[in-house]
Amino acid sequence: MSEPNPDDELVHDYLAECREHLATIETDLLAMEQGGAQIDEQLVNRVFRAAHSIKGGAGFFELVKIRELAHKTENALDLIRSRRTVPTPEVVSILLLAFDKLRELICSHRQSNQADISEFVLALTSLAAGSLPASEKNSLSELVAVEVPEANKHIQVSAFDLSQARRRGKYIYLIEYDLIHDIERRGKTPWVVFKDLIKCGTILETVFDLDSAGTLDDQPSNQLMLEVLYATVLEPDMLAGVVDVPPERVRLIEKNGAIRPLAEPSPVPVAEPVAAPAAAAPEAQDCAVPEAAPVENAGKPAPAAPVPAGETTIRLNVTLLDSLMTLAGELVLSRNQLNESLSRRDDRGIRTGAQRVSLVTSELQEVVTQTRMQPVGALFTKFPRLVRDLARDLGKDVQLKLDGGDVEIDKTILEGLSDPLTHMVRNAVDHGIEPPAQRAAARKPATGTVTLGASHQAGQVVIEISDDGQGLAAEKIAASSVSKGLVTREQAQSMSEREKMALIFLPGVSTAEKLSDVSGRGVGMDVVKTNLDRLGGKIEIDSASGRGSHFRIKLPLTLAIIPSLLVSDGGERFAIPQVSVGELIRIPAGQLADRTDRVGDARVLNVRDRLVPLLHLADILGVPRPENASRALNVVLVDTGSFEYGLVVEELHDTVEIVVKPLGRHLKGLHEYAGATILGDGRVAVILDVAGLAARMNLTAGTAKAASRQRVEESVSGAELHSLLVFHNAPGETCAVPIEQVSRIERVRSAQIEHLGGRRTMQYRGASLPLVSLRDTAAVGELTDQQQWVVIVFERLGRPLGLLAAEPLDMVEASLTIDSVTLRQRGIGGSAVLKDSTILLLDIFELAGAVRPEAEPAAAAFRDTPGNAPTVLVADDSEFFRGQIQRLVEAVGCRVLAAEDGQAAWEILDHHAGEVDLVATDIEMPRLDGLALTRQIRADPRFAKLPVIALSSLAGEEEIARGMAAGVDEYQIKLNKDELTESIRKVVRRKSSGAPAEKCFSGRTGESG
Amino acid sequence: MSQTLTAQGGQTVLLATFFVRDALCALDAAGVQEVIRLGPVTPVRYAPEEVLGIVNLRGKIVTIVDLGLRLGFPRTVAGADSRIFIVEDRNEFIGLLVDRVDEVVEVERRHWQPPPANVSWGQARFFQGIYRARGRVIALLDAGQILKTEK
Repeated sequence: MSEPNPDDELVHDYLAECREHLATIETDLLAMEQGGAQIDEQLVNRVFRAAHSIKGGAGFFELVKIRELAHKTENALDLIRSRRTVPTPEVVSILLLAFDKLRELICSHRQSNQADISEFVLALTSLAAGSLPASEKNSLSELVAVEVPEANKHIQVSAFDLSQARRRGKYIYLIEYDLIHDIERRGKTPWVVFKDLIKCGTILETVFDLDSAGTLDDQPSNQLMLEVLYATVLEPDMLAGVVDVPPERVRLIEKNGAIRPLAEPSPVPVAEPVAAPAAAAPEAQDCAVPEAAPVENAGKPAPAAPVPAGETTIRLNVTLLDSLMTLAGELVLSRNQLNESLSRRDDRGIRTGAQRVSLVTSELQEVVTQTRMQPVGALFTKFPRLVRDLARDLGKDVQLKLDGGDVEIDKTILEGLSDPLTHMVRNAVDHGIEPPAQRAAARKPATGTVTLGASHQAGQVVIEISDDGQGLAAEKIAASSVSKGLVTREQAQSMSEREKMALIFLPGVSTAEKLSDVSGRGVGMDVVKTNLDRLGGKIEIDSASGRGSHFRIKLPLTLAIIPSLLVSDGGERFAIPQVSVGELIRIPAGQLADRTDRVGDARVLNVRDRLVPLLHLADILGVPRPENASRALNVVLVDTGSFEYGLVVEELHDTVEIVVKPLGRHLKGLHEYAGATILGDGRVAVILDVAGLAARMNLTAGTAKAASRQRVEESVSGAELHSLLVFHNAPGETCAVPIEQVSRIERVRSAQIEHLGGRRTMQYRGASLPLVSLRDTAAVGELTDQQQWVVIVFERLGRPLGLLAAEPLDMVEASLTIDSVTLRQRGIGGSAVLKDSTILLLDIFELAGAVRPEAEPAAAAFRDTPGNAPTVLVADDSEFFRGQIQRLVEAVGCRVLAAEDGQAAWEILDHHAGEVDLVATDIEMPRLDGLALTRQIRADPRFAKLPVIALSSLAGEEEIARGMAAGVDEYQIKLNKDELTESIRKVVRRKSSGAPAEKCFSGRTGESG
Repeated sequence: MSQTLTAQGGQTVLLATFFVRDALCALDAAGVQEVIRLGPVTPVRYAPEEVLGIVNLRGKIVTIVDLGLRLGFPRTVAGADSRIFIVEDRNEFIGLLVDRVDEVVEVERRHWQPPPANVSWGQARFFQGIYRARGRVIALLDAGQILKTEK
């Protein structure tokens, strides 16, 4: 310690402390900027003291450049403190940059003396000069020599410092420390002494008096003198409390430059007690302890900068260490007990011993995990600066709100989070928050807000980044993805808003219209996603156009120990991190056919109306899989973050806490695995990475989507889904009508039914409602006489009609293949098989005709239309529905051309090019489906303006979107008379006025399976 | 192992010898941590061809490399004599599967010869040289080269 050596342990103490100072300085500087001319003295003092202590130590370790730069920042801060300079954004910028440079210098302190800091020094000096009266300006660069008596030398000190100190009424002392007697022999370190001094004043200058060291041959009473020029408010008689050196070595420097010793040299100069070290040691420790930051402040000091010394060490709360020691002790004790019981073959002892070990181990695990925990706040602190600088560069007004900085998370995760979070905060400021003018136009507050929050939720840490900016443009993202060939246009069109937004995580997708310096280079969010995947994190997006975006990142508390599901296949066990596991599904062999479907060579599973692709772990592993239909299927529903899929495994085991171990260098590059773990029996199991497995099997968000959609199309084209009202006629005769045709269901007592003129009627809404039964038209059973009847009310040609029926009533959604031949009768349009029984589908047009034949040709809405009645081309592969639609359209006075599929429809259209006024087409049809037909129509210039209505039993959001994309004008529920009539009316109006058709989408949406 | 320390830098060097098929090979004994029997190995699908799998070595996950395969022989068929040399290379413990362990021999450094150009198996870069001891030729392998991953 006799000589300052940059490699000394002390330097590390000093550097660690500097980093701590620097970590908080940024926040304080930004707060100063906020305050502007309203100076919070405490705040400025804190920054000042930080700069000062950096300067002090640097002087001591002869880190001259660090010292100089810290000194200049100190000067600037001093001017702010004395209210001679206002901390404007420009001033704060200079300071921030200077502290950045300081951080850099401290990181590479060994090279720091060669660093070039002139730019920063100049900026700081001119800053100080700008706020000084002309007479004082020179003092900034002027040096004053202070003579050291009896040493035949002098200390150079800045005139500015001296005058600043004097201005505050401080006393200037020259203190001579003897490093050997005053410091080392008392068990202190120079650094501790320094810190004591800094607490009560400022160190203006330090100089080593190497001459005083003498030569090696000298007596052991050798001295190593350190001259310290110290400015403090302490009066001479109070100084002794702080400065522990013989009074004759403390001199007061008067205003006129005269130097006065505080005491005459004592007659016995070497009288310092030699026994001091032992007694002084605890005192030194007492000094050190409060300096050591409590563990929660020991975060990564400056995440942006590389910190060579800081990263490998971690500050630990002593109580935590104590509890670790206690637990280790207990573990040893338990082991001894266990060994003893084993040698005595004492079963009970073994059992209790094992129990104890297990208990202690879990506790140990918990405490060890705690030692790795760091507050998220340590990471958050870098963002105020980032947001400020970015906002200034972009000419935006942005405030950052931080929340939940005390939430703790594993050190490794915290470090890994730094880059993704930085990227996302940058994005929020750059892309999210609009320029002030645009905000004003949108009537938003001029200042945009970015919120960064952390919280604990269900054993996970959730980090949320939100902004009140313009939100994510889902369409733009989708368009960008399509143009880059990442998804097909069809895939993009079938995606929901949220799914489109999730495309931003694909590589190369960007929303930025023009590339800015900050972000929008088309790289980023995919990297964010990759980084988060590596940390076992999940990210979700929520965004509303114009109102802002919200990102949620879910992270495990720790990476070291994670709960995982154990599965096995091909005789090997595997762990799947619980965070990726959605649910476990066991499909009994009997339900396999119902719940899974084959799409090409891929299989999909139906999970509550969602279709998820299935992957067999056996296929991934390359082991033969028993293709045995009689086996139940164990499916682990896993979530990769961007899509989910089902992983079929041979066996499911328990969920256990596993310790994650890294894989060796040969296996590092394998994305299929997240590491390995050692199981209870000592065997090794690899940890599966579900996203990596999917990628290996070429399953990506796009293909997963396509596989599930294909299934929908297939199932629907095979047998369309319909909503039916099911009721009974005679016992055993099940009938059904499309629900769209039913206007009301009434329950009536038999007494209410009147028999008049051979017809049955009832009172309904103040008029008499004609009633029919199926037996009136078809050879079916008689309705059994009963107390209560069901009357199903239809509307036919604008007038109601009641059908007598019997309970039970049921509403079903089913895919039916309608047979229009076998059971065809008047009033019965066809039949279908539903749940193993045959149902009769009633043709209400025929039923009505049977009851009121005179009404049939009447009431044609367009009969009086000038010119020809409109011609409607109806395409539907189901004869029953085609007939129903045809009569519905004919009923309003139109001419109908019917086609049994899209191809036939196209041929008719091609032949009658000028005649067809409107096309009403089913979607799912063989040969050419409705969408393909529509595209074909749209592609032909002859039919560019021909209105096309898509008719579907049930329309999901996706289908409507696809219909729109194909060029459909309207999406309607099949057999919805009002909507269809209204559309035809519009066509007629257009026909007579020549106005173009307006687009409208009145389709009702429903669950589609 | 204490002998190793004295041998290091001295006139002699200790070699741990073993057989890969019929070839007598050796690794510098100083780099060999221990030799273990082949226990249950967990296979790792999609790993490089020469990786047999991973094992648990007192709580560490150790990758086992088929040394024979790496040197250009066909895949090793593990037998009763198979052993795993645990070597430490660049802060990682890696196991090398060999067919049979021979002995630890002390050889004089001056007897070192460069590997002959006509070695038909393996690649020259895996060999550090040739020693002659008790009438036998020992091929000294370079663990660093063998454990290098290509990428």
